[in-house]
Amino acid sequence: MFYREAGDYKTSYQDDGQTFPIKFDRYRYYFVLFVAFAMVPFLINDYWVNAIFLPFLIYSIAAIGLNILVGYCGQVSLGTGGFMAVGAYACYKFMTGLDIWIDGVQYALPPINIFFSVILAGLVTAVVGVLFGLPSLRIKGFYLAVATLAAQFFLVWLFNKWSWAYNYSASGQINAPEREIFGVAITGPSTDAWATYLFCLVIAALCAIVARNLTRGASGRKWMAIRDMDIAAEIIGVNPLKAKLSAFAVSSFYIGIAGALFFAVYLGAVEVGEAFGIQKSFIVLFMVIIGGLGSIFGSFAGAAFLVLLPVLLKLMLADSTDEISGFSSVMSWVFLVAFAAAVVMLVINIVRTRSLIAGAGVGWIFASIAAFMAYALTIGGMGWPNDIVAHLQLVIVGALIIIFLIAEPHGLAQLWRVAKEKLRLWPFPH
Amino acid sequence: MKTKLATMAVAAVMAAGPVMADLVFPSLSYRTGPYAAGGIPFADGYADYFTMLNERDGGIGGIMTKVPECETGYNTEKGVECYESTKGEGALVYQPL
Repeated sequence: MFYREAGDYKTSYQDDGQTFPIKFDRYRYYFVLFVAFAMVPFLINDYWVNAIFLPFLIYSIAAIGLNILVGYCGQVSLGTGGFMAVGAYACYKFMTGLDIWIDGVQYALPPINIFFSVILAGLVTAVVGVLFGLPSLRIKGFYLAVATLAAQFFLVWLFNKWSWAYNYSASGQINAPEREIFGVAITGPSTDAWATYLFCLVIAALCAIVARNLTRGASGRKWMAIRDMDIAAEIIGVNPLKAKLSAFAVSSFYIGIAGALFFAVYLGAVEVGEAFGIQKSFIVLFMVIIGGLGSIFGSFAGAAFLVLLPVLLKLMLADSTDEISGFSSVMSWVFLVAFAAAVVMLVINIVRTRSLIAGAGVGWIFASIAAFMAYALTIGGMGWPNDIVAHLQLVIVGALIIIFLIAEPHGLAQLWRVAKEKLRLWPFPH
Repeated sequence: MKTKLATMAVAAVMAAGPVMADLVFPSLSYRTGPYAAGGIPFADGYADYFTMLNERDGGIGGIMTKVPECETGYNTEKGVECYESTKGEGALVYQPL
């Protein structure tokens, strides 16, 4: 209805090249930016920042980085955790004053401002990423995955053994000292919620805009040519050395920034094996796959999905509360009745069609899940035992990944794209 | 300005809260994950001890105790989430085990 471009009335190259050619998309983008920058900082508290927004923004940056490499350039990487560790340790060295020893004398740079430490950490990671990207010129697919896996294990080993990297601290941990921007603490124990949020938001927004434009431009088309068929790309004049290594460099730059923020702003203290293990590589890869390969929006969607889902499940199932307001208890009854009705309809549907998903089956499944979620949230959590909920979380997240891969292998971004295509013609079917 | 707002918020919370609040000892447990074998008996014991204090002695110094549990799976990020979600209840101590 309103989501439609009628005809092609562009009269300048600038109009033709804009990121969001449809007006509705463009205003939605401005609206999201407005809410994120001008409204959220006034509304959030420590819980929202540390449990939801910081992990979401930081994992989004990492997912954008990995998406550039895997989704746009087609080079599989399992080294994300290791590259995040490089970013974290590089940021630590820059923010505490990079030192070198020459003939037993220590020369040290002064500590660098946290913003530039993060950017420099990204650059260091880009160099390391190019180094580990070199094998990609000779090997592809599974073999490259194993080569980057080697990077993961080597880097974790390195930051355990190389005491210079953690300033010779006895525990092998790195701790972020307090650092400020314009007199506002960004790292350390006494930060304000809005400050850390805005710091990560600014970097995430910059990263996303740059990534979006890189992937729309010449370099992005070169990466996609390499991804789709490297020999054909070489024949039409794409230099595989430059394309692959630039993809590794840009991707590692993003992942390094994510690692630096993860250490300095989010956790504040990090031990490499625990924080940047193989688990990190996999979770960022899941985000990219669930969100959608080759989509910047998909990186955000995938990160939101994997960060929010465990928190949501915990709030729904494990928490419990004694005092419920009258309005909530009325609403909870409404949702409980709706849940019961949806389950009854689902059972009727199963009996009639002899199938779980035939007819309106999928719709009733979604309706009963939604009604149950609404019920659980309005009564303040079901209060189930913690360990059962924790195990259930693993089951649900794992099942959702499998369902996603079967039902929509192109991820959340593809669902979004389909929804937009439908909206374009709505309310007419053809 | 910010401090003033914060003071007002704290004052409002304190005025609204009950006079005889429970003593809150959050239990950040790890009943799942790599250290579950040690985490399950420890979390059980921690909760049981405070239950015993409540039922045998009527709490500590006449004030009942409360042990809200939050599962971390020995994972730092989930631990951060647990800390942030329990610290507002007037937590007295976070035992690190």
